[in-house]
Amino acid sequence: MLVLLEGTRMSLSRLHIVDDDPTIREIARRVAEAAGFEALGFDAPADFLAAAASDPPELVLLDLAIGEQDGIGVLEALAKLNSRCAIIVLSGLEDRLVGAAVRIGRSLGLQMLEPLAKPFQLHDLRARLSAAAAMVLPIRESDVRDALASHQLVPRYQPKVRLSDGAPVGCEALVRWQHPSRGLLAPSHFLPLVEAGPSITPLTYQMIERAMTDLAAWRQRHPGLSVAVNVSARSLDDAEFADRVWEILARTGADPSSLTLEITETAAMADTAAVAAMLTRLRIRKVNLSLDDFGTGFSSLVELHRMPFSELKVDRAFVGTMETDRDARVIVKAIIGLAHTLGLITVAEGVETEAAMDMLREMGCDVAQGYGIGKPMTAEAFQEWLDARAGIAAPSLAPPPGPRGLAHGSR
Amino acid sequence: MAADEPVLDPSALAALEEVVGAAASAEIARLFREDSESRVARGSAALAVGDLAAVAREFHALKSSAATLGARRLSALAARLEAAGLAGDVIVARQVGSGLDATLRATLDALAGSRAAA
Repeated sequence: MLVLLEGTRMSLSRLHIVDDDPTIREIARRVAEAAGFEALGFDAPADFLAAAASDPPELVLLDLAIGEQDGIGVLEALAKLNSRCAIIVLSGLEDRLVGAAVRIGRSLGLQMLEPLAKPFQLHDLRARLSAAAAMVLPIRESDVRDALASHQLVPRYQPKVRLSDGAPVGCEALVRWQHPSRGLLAPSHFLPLVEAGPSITPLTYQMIERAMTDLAAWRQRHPGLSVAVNVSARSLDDAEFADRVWEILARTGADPSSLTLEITETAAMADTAAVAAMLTRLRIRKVNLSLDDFGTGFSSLVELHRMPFSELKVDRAFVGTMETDRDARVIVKAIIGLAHTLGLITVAEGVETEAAMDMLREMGCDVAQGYGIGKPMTAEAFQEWLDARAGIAAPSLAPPPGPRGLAHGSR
Repeated sequence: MAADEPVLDPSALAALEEVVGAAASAEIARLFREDSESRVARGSAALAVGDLAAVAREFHALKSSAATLGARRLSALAARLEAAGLAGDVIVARQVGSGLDATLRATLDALAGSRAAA
Protein backbone atom coordinates (compact mmCIF):
# COMPACT_ATOMS: atom_id res chain seq x y z
CA MET A 1 0.00 0.00 0.00
CA LEU A 2 1.30 3.44 -0.89
CA VAL A 3 0.67 5.26 2.29
CA LEU A 4 1.31 8.93 1.69
CA LEU A 5 0.96 10.54 -1.62
CA GLU A 6 0.64 14.20 -0.82
CA GLY A 7 3.48 16.51 -1.56
CA THR A 8 4.13 19.54 -3.64
CA ARG A 9 4.51 18.92 -7.36
CA MET A 10 7.16 21.22 -8.62
CA SER A 11 10.49 20.43 -10.13
CA LEU A 12 11.34 18.60 -6.93
CA SER A 13 13.05 15.29 -6.69
CA ARG A 14 11.54 12.46 -4.78
CA LEU A 15 12.49 10.81 -1.56
CA HIS A 16 11.16 7.30 -1.00
CA ILE A 17 10.71 6.40 2.64
CA VAL A 18 10.46 2.68 3.35
CA ASP A 19 9.51 2.14 6.98
CA ASP A 20 6.51 0.44 8.52
CA ASP A 21 6.27 2.89 11.39
CA PRO A 22 3.75 5.61 10.50
CA THR A 23 5.18 8.12 12.97
CA ILE A 24 8.71 7.78 11.61
CA ARG A 25 7.41 7.91 8.06
CA GLU A 26 5.45 11.07 8.70
CA ILE A 27 8.36 12.77 10.46
CA ALA A 28 10.70 11.87 7.60
CA ARG A 29 8.15 13.03 5.04
CA ARG A 30 7.63 16.40 6.68
CA VAL A 31 11.33 17.04 7.17
CA ALA A 32 12.05 15.93 3.59
CA GLU A 33 9.50 18.37 2.25
CA ALA A 34 11.12 21.14 4.23
CA ALA A 35 14.42 20.11 2.59
CA GLY A 36 12.97 20.40 -0.90
CA PHE A 37 11.84 16.85 -1.66
CA GLU A 38 8.58 15.40 -2.69
CA ALA A 39 8.34 12.52 -0.25
CA LEU A 40 6.62 9.18 -0.76
CA GLY A 41 6.10 6.78 2.13
CA PHE A 42 5.86 3.01 1.85
CA ASP A 43 5.13 0.59 4.66
CA ALA A 44 5.85 -2.54 2.62
CA PRO A 45 9.03 -3.27 0.64
CA ALA A 46 7.04 -4.93 -2.18
CA ASP A 47 5.06 -1.75 -2.85
CA PHE A 48 8.20 0.33 -2.84
CA LEU A 49 9.95 -2.03 -5.26
CA ALA A 50 6.95 -2.07 -7.59
CA ALA A 51 7.04 1.74 -7.67
CA ALA A 52 10.83 1.77 -8.07
CA ALA A 53 10.64 -0.56 -11.08
CA SER A 54 8.45 1.82 -13.05
CA ASP A 55 9.86 5.13 -11.81
CA PRO A 56 13.48 5.02 -10.57
CA PRO A 57 13.97 6.55 -7.11
CA GLU A 58 16.63 9.17 -6.47
CA LEU A 59 17.04 8.98 -2.73
CA VAL A 60 15.73 6.26 -0.44
CA LEU A 61 15.43 6.22 3.33
CA LEU A 62 15.36 2.52 4.10
CA ASP A 63 14.53 0.96 7.45
CA LEU A 64 16.43 -2.28 7.94
CA ALA A 65 13.76 -4.00 10.01
CA ILE A 66 10.46 -3.54 8.23
CA GLY A 67 7.88 -5.57 10.14
CA GLU A 68 8.69 -9.19 9.49
CA GLN A 69 10.92 -8.34 6.54
CA ASP A 70 14.40 -6.96 6.31
CA GLY A 71 16.03 -4.25 4.24
CA ILE A 72 18.72 -6.46 2.69
CA GLY A 73 16.18 -7.94 0.29
CA VAL A 74 15.30 -4.42 -0.78
CA LEU A 75 18.97 -3.65 -1.44
CA GLU A 76 19.31 -6.79 -3.55
CA ALA A 77 16.19 -5.95 -5.52
CA LEU A 78 17.39 -2.38 -6.13
CA ALA A 79 20.71 -3.75 -7.38
CA LYS A 80 18.81 -6.01 -9.81
CA LEU A 81 16.99 -2.93 -11.08
CA ASN A 82 20.40 -1.35 -11.67
CA SER A 83 19.27 1.48 -9.47
CA ARG A 84 21.50 4.52 -9.31
CA CYS A 85 19.65 5.93 -6.31
CA ALA A 86 21.36 7.05 -3.13
CA ILE A 87 20.34 5.11 -0.04
CA ILE A 88 20.35 6.15 3.59
CA VAL A 89 19.82 3.20 5.90
CA LEU A 90 17.62 4.04 8.86
CA SER A 91 17.95 1.82 11.82
CA GLY A 92 17.40 1.27 15.48
CA LEU A 93 19.61 -1.82 15.27
CA GLU A 94 23.15 -2.03 16.59
CA ASP A 95 25.91 -0.33 14.64
CA ARG A 96 27.59 -3.56 13.58
CA LEU A 97 24.46 -4.80 11.80
CA VAL A 98 23.91 -1.44 10.17
CA GLY A 99 27.54 -1.36 9.03
CA ALA A 100 27.17 -4.83 7.54
CA ALA A 101 24.06 -3.75 5.63
CA VAL A 102 25.88 -0.71 4.25
CA ARG A 103 28.79 -2.88 3.12
CA ILE A 104 26.41 -5.32 1.45
CA GLY A 105 24.76 -2.43 -0.41
CA ARG A 106 28.13 -1.15 -1.57
CA SER A 107 29.24 -4.58 -2.71
CA LEU A 108 26.04 -4.72 -4.77
CA GLY A 109 27.13 -1.52 -6.47
CA LEU A 110 24.62 0.73 -4.72
CA GLN A 111 25.33 4.26 -3.62
CA MET A 112 25.11 3.93 0.17
CA LEU A 113 25.24 7.17 2.13
CA GLU A 114 26.10 7.43 5.82
CA PRO A 115 23.34 5.61 7.77
CA LEU A 116 21.00 7.39 10.17
CA ALA A 117 20.38 5.94 13.60
CA LYS A 118 16.88 5.86 15.04
CA PRO A 119 15.60 7.54 17.09
CA PHE A 120 16.59 10.52 14.99
CA GLN A 121 17.68 13.81 16.26
CA LEU A 122 15.40 16.02 14.18
CA HIS A 123 18.13 18.51 13.40
CA ASP A 124 20.42 15.74 12.20
CA LEU A 125 17.71 14.39 9.96
CA ARG A 126 17.12 17.82 8.49
CA ALA A 127 20.83 18.44 7.92
CA ARG A 128 21.29 15.03 6.34
CA LEU A 129 18.33 15.45 4.01
CA SER A 130 19.39 18.95 3.01
CA ALA A 131 22.87 17.68 2.24
CA ALA A 132 21.44 14.76 0.28
CA ALA A 133 19.09 17.11 -1.55
CA ALA A 134 22.00 19.22 -2.64
CA MET A 135 23.66 16.08 -3.90
CA VAL A 136 20.83 14.33 -5.66
CA LEU A 137 18.51 17.07 -6.83
CA PRO A 138 19.27 17.99 -10.39
CA ILE A 139 19.99 21.66 -10.89
CA ARG A 140 19.43 23.01 -14.36
CA GLU A 141 21.16 25.93 -15.92
CA SER A 142 17.84 27.81 -16.06
CA ASP A 143 17.45 27.39 -12.26
CA VAL A 144 20.80 29.09 -11.80
CA ARG A 145 19.83 31.88 -14.18
CA ASP A 146 16.65 32.45 -12.15
CA ALA A 147 18.68 32.39 -8.96
CA LEU A 148 21.00 35.03 -10.36
CA ALA A 149 18.08 37.22 -11.43
CA SER A 150 16.48 36.97 -7.99
CA HIS A 151 19.77 37.63 -6.18
CA GLN A 152 19.95 34.21 -4.55
CA LEU A 153 23.61 33.88 -5.52
CA VAL A 154 25.27 35.70 -2.68
CA PRO A 155 28.80 36.34 -1.48
CA ARG A 156 30.35 34.96 1.65
CA TYR A 157 33.59 36.57 2.73
CA GLN A 158 36.63 34.68 3.92
CA PRO A 159 39.07 36.81 5.92
CA LYS A 160 42.72 37.31 5.08
CA VAL A 161 45.33 38.39 7.59
CA ARG A 162 48.83 39.73 7.30
CA LEU A 163 51.15 37.07 8.65
CA SER A 164 53.70 39.38 10.23
CA ASP A 165 51.25 40.73 12.83
CA GLY A 166 47.89 39.06 12.25
CA ALA A 167 46.22 42.28 11.10
CA PRO A 168 43.16 41.82 8.84
CA VAL A 169 43.88 42.99 5.29
CA GLY A 170 40.61 42.06 3.63
CA CYS A 171 38.79 39.03 2.35
CA GLU A 172 37.90 36.91 -0.64
CA ALA A 173 34.30 36.94 -1.88
CA LEU A 174 33.09 33.38 -2.46
CA VAL A 175 29.76 32.66 -4.08
CA ARG A 176 27.02 30.63 -2.40
CA TRP A 177 23.46 29.88 -3.45
CA GLN A 178 20.92 30.87 -0.83
CA HIS A 179 18.41 28.33 -2.08
CA PRO A 180 14.82 28.94 -0.91
CA SER A 181 14.18 25.34 0.10
CA ARG A 182 17.60 23.70 0.26
CA GLY A 183 19.56 26.16 2.33
CA LEU A 184 22.99 27.48 1.52
CA LEU A 185 24.53 25.53 -1.35
CA ALA A 186 28.27 25.30 -1.87
CA PRO A 187 29.64 26.29 -5.29
CA SER A 188 30.38 22.67 -6.21
CA HIS A 189 26.62 22.16 -6.61
CA PHE A 190 26.09 24.86 -9.19
CA LEU A 191 29.25 26.69 -10.24
CA PRO A 192 30.28 24.21 -12.95
CA LEU A 193 26.84 24.78 -14.54
CA VAL A 194 27.22 28.54 -14.28
CA GLU A 195 30.68 28.44 -15.76
CA ALA A 196 29.45 26.45 -18.71
CA GLY A 197 26.51 28.78 -19.37
CA PRO A 198 25.78 32.41 -20.10
CA SER A 199 25.36 33.44 -16.44
CA ILE A 200 29.00 33.44 -15.46
CA THR A 201 29.82 36.96 -16.59
CA PRO A 202 26.68 38.59 -15.10
CA LEU A 203 27.47 36.67 -11.89
CA THR A 204 31.01 38.05 -11.85
CA TYR A 205 29.71 41.62 -12.21
CA GLN A 206 27.08 41.04 -9.52
CA MET A 207 29.70 39.67 -7.15
CA ILE A 208 32.07 42.60 -7.76
CA GLU A 209 29.27 45.09 -7.18
CA ARG A 210 28.07 43.38 -3.98
CA ALA A 211 31.63 43.08 -2.70
CA MET A 212 32.46 46.74 -3.36
CA THR A 213 29.22 47.86 -1.70
CA ASP A 214 29.93 45.74 1.38
CA LEU A 215 33.55 46.91 1.39
CA ALA A 216 32.43 50.56 1.52
CA ALA A 217 30.55 49.76 4.76
CA TRP A 218 33.51 47.92 6.33
CA ARG A 219 35.96 50.63 5.35
CA GLN A 220 34.08 53.21 7.39
CA ARG A 221 35.56 51.63 10.50
CA HIS A 222 38.40 49.68 8.93
CA PRO A 223 40.07 51.70 6.17
CA GLY A 224 42.67 50.03 4.01
CA LEU A 225 40.81 46.76 3.53
CA SER A 226 40.50 45.13 0.12
CA VAL A 227 38.26 42.47 -1.41
CA ALA A 228 39.18 39.77 -3.88
CA VAL A 229 36.65 38.45 -6.42
CA ASN A 230 37.14 35.44 -8.67
CA VAL A 231 37.01 35.96 -12.40
CA SER A 232 36.52 33.02 -14.73
CA ALA A 233 38.18 32.61 -18.10
CA ARG A 234 34.81 33.04 -19.79
CA SER A 235 34.32 36.50 -18.29
CA LEU A 236 37.62 37.60 -19.77
CA ASP A 237 36.16 36.83 -23.19
CA ASP A 238 33.80 39.76 -22.72
CA ALA A 239 35.46 42.59 -24.63
CA GLU A 240 33.71 45.03 -22.30
CA PHE A 241 35.09 43.42 -19.15
CA ALA A 242 37.52 46.15 -18.16
CA ASP A 243 34.98 48.89 -18.88
CA ARG A 244 32.28 47.12 -16.89
CA VAL A 245 34.56 46.67 -13.89
CA TRP A 246 35.52 50.31 -14.13
CA GLU A 247 31.83 51.33 -14.22
CA ILE A 248 31.13 49.32 -11.08
CA LEU A 249 34.06 50.94 -9.30
CA ALA A 250 32.78 54.37 -10.32
CA ARG A 251 29.20 53.58 -9.31
CA THR A 252 30.18 52.27 -5.89
CA GLY A 253 32.77 54.99 -5.37
CA ALA A 254 35.35 52.33 -4.57
CA ASP A 255 39.09 52.84 -4.60
CA PRO A 256 40.34 50.67 -7.51
CA SER A 257 43.26 49.45 -5.43
CA SER A 258 40.77 47.96 -2.95
CA LEU A 259 39.65 45.43 -5.57
CA THR A 260 41.65 42.33 -6.40
CA LEU A 261 40.59 40.17 -9.33
CA GLU A 262 41.62 36.56 -8.84
CA ILE A 263 42.32 34.78 -12.08
CA THR A 264 43.22 31.11 -12.31
CA GLU A 265 46.20 29.95 -14.27
CA THR A 266 43.87 28.24 -16.71
CA ALA A 267 42.01 31.49 -17.29
CA ALA A 268 45.22 33.41 -17.68
CA MET A 269 46.36 30.84 -20.20
CA ALA A 270 43.52 31.86 -22.52
CA ASP A 271 46.27 33.46 -24.44
CA THR A 272 44.97 36.33 -26.41
CA ALA A 273 46.41 39.75 -26.83
CA ALA A 274 42.97 41.14 -26.01
CA VAL A 275 42.94 39.52 -22.55
CA ALA A 276 46.44 40.73 -21.80
CA ALA A 277 45.50 44.25 -22.92
CA MET A 278 42.35 44.27 -20.81
CA LEU A 279 44.12 43.10 -17.68
CA THR A 280 46.91 45.57 -18.24
CA ARG A 281 44.40 48.43 -18.54
CA LEU A 282 42.84 47.44 -15.23
CA ARG A 283 46.25 47.13 -13.61
CA ILE A 284 47.32 50.57 -14.84
CA ARG A 285 44.22 51.89 -13.10
CA LYS A 286 45.47 50.23 -9.86
CA VAL A 287 43.09 47.26 -9.76
CA ASN A 288 45.06 44.34 -8.28
CA LEU A 289 45.41 41.13 -10.22
CA SER A 290 46.01 37.89 -8.41
CA LEU A 291 47.10 34.62 -9.98
CA ASP A 292 44.89 32.07 -8.23
CA ASP A 293 45.66 28.43 -7.37
CA PHE A 294 49.28 28.86 -8.34
CA GLY A 295 51.16 25.64 -8.92
CA THR A 296 48.23 23.54 -10.12
CA GLY A 297 48.14 24.68 -13.75
CA PHE A 298 50.64 24.32 -16.51
CA SER A 299 52.16 27.52 -17.75
CA SER A 300 52.82 29.14 -14.40
CA LEU A 301 56.14 30.78 -14.97
CA VAL A 302 55.31 32.06 -18.42
CA GLU A 303 52.09 33.64 -17.15
CA LEU A 304 53.83 35.27 -14.22
CA HIS A 305 56.16 36.90 -16.63
CA ARG A 306 53.63 37.86 -19.30
CA MET A 307 50.60 39.10 -17.36
CA PRO A 308 50.62 42.14 -15.05
CA PHE A 309 49.87 40.26 -11.82
CA SER A 310 50.39 41.97 -8.48
CA GLU A 311 49.76 38.96 -6.26
CA LEU A 312 50.16 35.22 -6.28
CA LYS A 313 48.05 32.73 -4.34
CA VAL A 314 49.77 29.54 -3.26
CA ASP A 315 47.37 26.68 -3.83
CA ARG A 316 45.82 24.92 -0.84
CA ALA A 317 47.04 21.60 -2.18
CA PHE A 318 50.58 22.55 -1.12
CA VAL A 319 49.68 24.56 1.96
CA GLY A 320 47.42 21.83 3.33
CA THR A 321 50.10 19.17 3.16
CA MET A 322 53.29 21.11 3.87
CA GLU A 323 53.22 20.35 7.60
CA THR A 324 53.71 16.67 6.95
CA ASP A 325 55.10 16.56 3.43
CA ARG A 326 58.63 17.85 2.99
CA ASP A 327 58.27 18.18 -0.79
CA ALA A 328 55.16 20.34 -0.41
CA ARG A 329 57.07 22.50 2.06
CA VAL A 330 59.95 22.95 -0.38
CA ILE A 331 57.51 23.87 -3.16
CA VAL A 332 55.73 26.47 -1.00
CA LYS A 333 59.01 28.01 0.00
CA ALA A 334 60.21 28.12 -3.61
CA ILE A 335 56.95 29.70 -4.81
CA ILE A 336 57.15 32.39 -2.14
CA GLY A 337 60.76 33.12 -3.05
CA LEU A 338 59.96 33.27 -6.73
CA ALA A 339 56.99 35.56 -6.19
CA HIS A 340 58.98 37.93 -4.03
CA THR A 341 61.78 38.05 -6.57
CA LEU A 342 59.18 39.12 -9.12
CA GLY A 343 57.82 41.71 -6.68
CA LEU A 344 54.53 39.93 -6.04
CA ILE A 345 52.60 39.74 -2.79
CA THR A 346 52.11 36.13 -1.67
CA VAL A 347 48.85 34.81 -0.24
CA ALA A 348 48.64 31.26 1.12
CA GLU A 349 45.18 29.70 0.99
CA GLY A 350 43.90 26.72 2.93
CA VAL A 351 45.69 27.71 6.15
CA GLU A 352 44.12 25.67 8.90
CA THR A 353 46.53 25.47 11.79
CA GLU A 354 48.72 27.66 13.96
CA ALA A 355 51.70 25.54 12.92
CA ALA A 356 51.03 26.28 9.25
CA MET A 357 50.82 30.00 10.08
CA ASP A 358 54.19 29.85 11.83
CA MET A 359 55.75 27.95 8.97
CA LEU A 360 54.46 30.41 6.37
CA ARG A 361 55.56 33.38 8.45
CA GLU A 362 59.05 31.93 8.64
CA MET A 363 59.06 31.47 4.86
CA GLY A 364 58.22 35.14 4.47
CA CYS A 365 54.71 34.66 3.09
CA ASP A 366 52.75 37.93 3.28
CA VAL A 367 49.10 36.98 3.75
CA ALA A 368 47.16 33.92 4.92
CA GLN A 369 43.60 32.77 4.35
CA GLY A 370 41.87 29.60 5.51
CA TYR A 371 39.60 27.97 8.08
CA GLY A 372 42.28 28.46 10.70
CA ILE A 373 41.80 32.21 10.32
CA GLY A 374 38.13 32.39 9.48
CA LYS A 375 35.51 30.52 7.51
CA PRO A 376 33.53 32.26 4.77
CA MET A 377 30.91 34.45 6.46
CA THR A 378 28.21 37.01 5.73
CA ALA A 379 29.08 40.69 5.30
CA GLU A 380 27.64 41.40 8.77
CA ALA A 381 29.61 38.61 10.38
CA PHE A 382 32.77 39.84 8.68
CA GLN A 383 32.11 43.33 10.08
CA GLU A 384 31.88 41.79 13.57
CA TRP A 385 35.00 39.72 12.93
CA LEU A 386 36.83 42.94 12.00
CA ASP A 387 35.47 44.82 15.02
CA ALA A 388 36.69 42.05 17.31
CA ARG A 389 40.19 42.60 15.91
CA ALA A 390 39.96 46.38 15.92
CA GLY A 391 43.08 46.64 18.06
CA ILE A 392 45.17 45.31 15.22
CA ALA A 393 45.79 48.00 12.65
CA ALA A 394 45.19 47.11 9.04
CA PRO A 395 47.24 49.32 6.78
CA SER A 396 48.01 48.30 3.24
CA LEU A 397 50.62 45.64 2.75
CA ALA A 398 54.24 46.54 2.96
CA PRO A 399 55.97 45.57 -0.25
CA PRO A 400 58.15 42.50 -0.07
CA PRO A 401 61.78 43.00 -1.03
CA GLY A 402 62.10 42.80 -4.78
CA PRO A 403 63.09 44.70 -7.85
CA ARG A 404 59.54 45.34 -9.01
CA GLY A 405 58.16 47.32 -6.12
CA LEU A 406 55.82 49.20 -8.42
CA ALA A 407 53.91 46.00 -9.00
CA HIS A 408 52.40 46.16 -5.52
CA GLY A 409 48.74 46.69 -4.96
CA SER A 410 49.27 49.23 -2.23
CA ARG A 411 50.97 51.74 -4.47
CA MET B 1 14.83 1.17 35.12
CA ALA B 2 12.23 2.49 32.74
CA ALA B 3 10.39 4.20 35.59
CA ASP B 4 13.44 6.41 36.17
CA GLU B 5 13.02 7.99 32.76
CA PRO B 6 10.84 11.09 32.39
CA VAL B 7 7.50 10.41 30.70
CA LEU B 8 8.06 13.11 28.13
CA ASP B 9 11.16 15.07 27.22
CA PRO B 10 9.79 18.35 25.88
CA SER B 11 12.98 19.21 24.00
CA ALA B 12 12.30 16.50 21.40
CA LEU B 13 8.89 17.97 20.61
CA ALA B 14 10.31 21.47 20.57
CA ALA B 15 12.91 20.34 18.00
CA LEU B 16 10.17 18.70 15.95
CA GLU B 17 8.12 21.89 15.94
CA GLU B 18 11.14 23.93 15.02
CA VAL B 19 11.95 21.71 12.06
CA VAL B 20 8.51 20.96 10.61
CA GLY B 21 6.24 23.59 12.17
CA ALA B 22 3.41 23.38 14.69
CA ALA B 23 0.72 21.98 12.41
CA ALA B 24 2.88 19.13 11.12
CA SER B 25 4.16 18.24 14.57
CA ALA B 26 0.56 18.09 15.89
CA GLU B 27 -0.25 15.73 13.02
CA ILE B 28 2.80 13.61 13.83
CA ALA B 29 1.80 13.48 17.50
CA ARG B 30 -1.71 12.36 16.47
CA LEU B 31 -0.27 9.57 14.28
CA PHE B 32 1.96 8.49 17.12
CA ARG B 33 -0.99 8.28 19.52
CA GLU B 34 -2.87 5.99 17.14
CA ASP B 35 0.14 3.89 16.26
CA SER B 36 1.43 3.48 19.80
CA GLU B 37 -2.02 2.39 21.01
CA SER B 38 -2.31 -0.23 18.30
CA ARG B 39 1.28 -1.41 18.79
CA VAL B 40 0.80 -1.77 22.51
CA ALA B 41 -2.45 -3.66 21.87
CA ARG B 42 -0.78 -5.98 19.36
CA GLY B 43 2.31 -6.38 21.51
CA SER B 44 0.22 -7.17 24.59
CA ALA B 45 -1.82 -9.72 22.63
CA ALA B 46 1.41 -11.34 21.41
CA LEU B 47 2.69 -11.36 24.97
CA ALA B 48 -0.49 -13.04 26.19
CA VAL B 49 -0.10 -15.92 23.72
CA GLY B 50 3.68 -16.07 24.16
CA ASP B 51 4.59 -15.03 20.57
CA LEU B 52 7.92 -13.49 21.54
CA ALA B 53 9.07 -12.78 17.98
CA ALA B 54 6.03 -10.57 17.50
CA VAL B 55 6.66 -8.97 20.90
CA ALA B 56 10.21 -8.08 19.83
CA ARG B 57 9.03 -6.72 16.49
CA GLU B 58 6.25 -4.50 17.85
CA PHE B 59 8.32 -3.06 20.65
CA HIS B 60 11.38 -2.54 18.45
CA ALA B 61 9.31 -0.16 16.33
CA LEU B 62 7.71 1.53 19.34
CA LYS B 63 11.13 2.05 20.91
CA SER B 64 12.27 4.24 18.02
CA SER B 65 9.15 6.27 17.37
CA ALA B 66 8.61 6.92 21.09
CA ALA B 67 12.20 8.07 21.54
CA THR B 68 12.01 10.34 18.50
CA LEU B 69 9.07 12.16 20.07
CA GLY B 70 10.75 12.30 23.47
CA ALA B 71 8.50 9.66 25.08
CA ARG B 72 11.46 8.36 27.02
CA ARG B 73 9.77 6.17 29.63
CA LEU B 74 7.69 4.37 27.01
CA SER B 75 10.74 3.98 24.79
CA ALA B 76 12.77 2.49 27.64
CA LEU B 77 9.96 0.08 28.46
CA ALA B 78 9.66 -0.91 24.79
CA ALA B 79 13.42 -1.49 24.63
CA ARG B 80 13.22 -3.86 27.61
CA LEU B 81 10.29 -5.69 26.06
CA GLU B 82 12.12 -6.00 22.76
CA ALA B 83 15.17 -7.40 24.58
CA ALA B 84 13.06 -9.86 26.56
CA GLY B 85 11.30 -10.88 23.35
CA LEU B 86 14.60 -11.46 21.58
CA ALA B 87 15.95 -13.39 24.58
CA GLY B 88 12.85 -15.58 24.56
CA ASP B 89 12.22 -14.74 28.20
CA VAL B 90 8.46 -14.79 28.57
CA ILE B 91 8.56 -14.33 32.35
CA VAL B 92 10.60 -11.14 32.23
CA ALA B 93 8.59 -9.91 29.25
CA ARG B 94 5.32 -10.32 31.14
CA GLN B 95 6.78 -8.70 34.25
CA VAL B 96 7.95 -5.68 32.26
CA GLY B 97 4.74 -5.68 30.22
CA SER B 98 2.62 -5.27 33.34
CA GLY B 99 3.59 -1.59 33.48
CA LEU B 100 2.84 -0.98 29.83
CA ASP B 101 -0.73 0.31 29.91
CA ALA B 102 -0.05 2.81 32.67
CA THR B 103 3.06 4.12 30.90
CA LEU B 104 1.24 4.44 27.60
CA ARG B 105 -1.59 6.34 29.31
CA ALA B 106 0.84 8.69 31.07
CA THR B 107 2.67 9.28 27.77
CA LEU B 108 -0.45 10.05 25.79
CA ASP B 109 -1.74 12.35 28.55
CA ALA B 110 1.55 14.20 28.60
CA LEU B 111 1.53 14.46 24.81
CA ALA B 112 -2.03 15.77 24.85
CA GLY B 113 -0.96 18.45 27.27
CA SER B 114 2.05 19.46 25.22
CA ARG B 115 2.19 22.21 22.66
CA ALA B 116 2.65 19.80 19.79
CA ALA B 117 -0.75 18.29 20.39
CA ALA B 118 -2.48 21.60 20.92
